[in-house]
Amino acid sequence: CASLTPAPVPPPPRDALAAFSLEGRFALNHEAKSYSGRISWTYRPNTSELLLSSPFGQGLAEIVTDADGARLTGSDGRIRTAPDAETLTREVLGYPLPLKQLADWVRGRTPPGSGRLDPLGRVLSLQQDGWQIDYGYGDDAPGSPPMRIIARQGEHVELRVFVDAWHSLSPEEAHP
Amino acid sequence: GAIERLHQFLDSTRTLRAGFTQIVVAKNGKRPQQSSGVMIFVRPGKFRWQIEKPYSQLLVGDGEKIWIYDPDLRQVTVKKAGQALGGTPASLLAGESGGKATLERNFSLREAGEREGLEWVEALPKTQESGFEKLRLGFAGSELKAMELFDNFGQTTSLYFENLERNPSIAPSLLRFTPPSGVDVISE
Repeated sequence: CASLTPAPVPPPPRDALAAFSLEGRFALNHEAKSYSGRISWTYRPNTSELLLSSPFGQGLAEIVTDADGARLTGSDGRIRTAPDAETLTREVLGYPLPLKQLADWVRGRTPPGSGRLDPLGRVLSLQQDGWQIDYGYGDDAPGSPPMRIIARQGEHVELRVFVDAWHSLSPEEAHP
Repeated sequence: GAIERLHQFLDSTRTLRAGFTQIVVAKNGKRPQQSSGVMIFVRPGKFRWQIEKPYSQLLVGDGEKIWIYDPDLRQVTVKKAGQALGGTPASLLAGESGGKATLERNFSLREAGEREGLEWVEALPKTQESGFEKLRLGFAGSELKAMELFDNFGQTTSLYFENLERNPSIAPSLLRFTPPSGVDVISE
């Protein structure tokens, strides 16, 4: 598809995003219900902090996952815990969100040989575990991560993410 | 003091238009996110919040519903006005006509002294569901110049207003929204 409005600052390449942080916007649609706002995500292979905020900026919910499991803190301060993010999101939303896989999807990382690629070798669409993921890019660098990610599960769950800024985290960068 | 200024401001301002710059700083203080645009408020309960840079996003409160249009996400989200506006800076500015009454019902106010050349008042939500810890409003004379919102995640959202007009006439069409064709509309 036509490339999107070009990203102001070219993103780091996909393979520099083993640990990353991103800022962007999201919309999570489930039947007639929709949550939308800003997303700030700091991800490392063993810990992840995902903050969802309202379009006006104030935080709504934060999901932290680490070796001990997953923890969701609401804007009213209530904390819920679960062994993993899938169980936690199922409890809170009524359906599970595969956050581990989502970290790969947003980076445009696909299992070898899967997914349809664009002429620059970047994934354009992918099917995995019942999810259909479609990608949009903000530039034409072969190594770039995607700028828009739309993940659908059947007809009823859909997550749209638009990344305004990608940052690669060096392994020794202090835990924020 | 600033509390009196806030009361006068809310009681004498039925409509408002201003350019805004918004800066959101996360608890680790890294990578502040800046955006700017134009905001319009018509009390009670109507507003238009147009983010222009670095991306385009439009929020319109027509009194019954809140429309959130994000061209990049190719989606219009429609929510009932009551809960979506909730404890946000917009709800204070767009609140019901009884300025002081709405304020006193939902917030306790405190003088917060002078800083950055402005006189500040601090508004502490009386209930937990407001979803944020405190709000500050900065005045230069009787002019509202800035707002700061401290949420429960250590994030600070600062809003700086430019060429703020009080009680301009506002075209009613600006406070309505019709979704463009070809965009998904998700409404509750």
